[in-house]
Amino acid sequence: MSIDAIMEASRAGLSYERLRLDAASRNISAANMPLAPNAAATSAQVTGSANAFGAHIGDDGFEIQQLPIATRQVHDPAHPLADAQGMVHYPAIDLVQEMTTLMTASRGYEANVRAFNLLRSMTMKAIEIGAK
Amino acid sequence: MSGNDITTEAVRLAMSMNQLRAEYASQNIGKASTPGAQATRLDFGMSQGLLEQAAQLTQSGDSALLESLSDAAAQPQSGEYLEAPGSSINLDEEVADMASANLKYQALTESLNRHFGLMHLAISGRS
Repeated sequence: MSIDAIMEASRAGLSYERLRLDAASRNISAANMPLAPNAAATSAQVTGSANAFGAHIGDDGFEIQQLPIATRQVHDPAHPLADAQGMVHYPAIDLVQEMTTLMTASRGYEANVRAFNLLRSMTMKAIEIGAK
Repeated sequence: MSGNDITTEAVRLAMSMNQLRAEYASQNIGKASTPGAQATRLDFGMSQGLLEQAAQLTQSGDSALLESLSDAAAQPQSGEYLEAPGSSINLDEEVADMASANLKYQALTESLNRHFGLMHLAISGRS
């Protein structure tokens, strides 16, 4: 495995963790946003798989998609977006899940940065082999 | 012309490629927060081809290759950069680009130093 390939792996890791962070923060921001009656709820999910061809053209094969999820109903007849039964709909986003994703994505990002920096300093050391 | 010069020219070309990489990475970082900014990407197809030819060269003294290497090193930016439409700028990618360009530049500098060190040894008899 060449040094460039290891660096590319770290960079792919960085962009994947950034996507997960992006999706989780979008979901957290939408968690308490009331939906219009009869509107479908969606949540941002990172989808796709690491495909071999895309890697050659700088596309790691992952993207954020809005996928349908269930709704959470809260009884609040005074709310302007309440339906005929007095229920307000919110997207059923699991905040615990999203916060965990946020934390693991942030840790994963740090780990990738560290791997990149470590590889860089190892290579700098390798340059010094045989130097006076 | 000797084979040594092809090595020097190839390293020079590779160094100027990495310099351009760092230059455009910092340009991208600079405009990253402006609205509607698009990344400028570099395409080193021609220079890469020349470097591969130089790497596979078995006998020294290919004067045509030497000439195109030194031309490319003198004018590396002709037609080798492009505005990539629709590609947004990711700061971490640009910083990573800059770091790897820096790493390669240092490696090339070191190799050129050793190369000239050998020449110095041959001329003066001591390193």
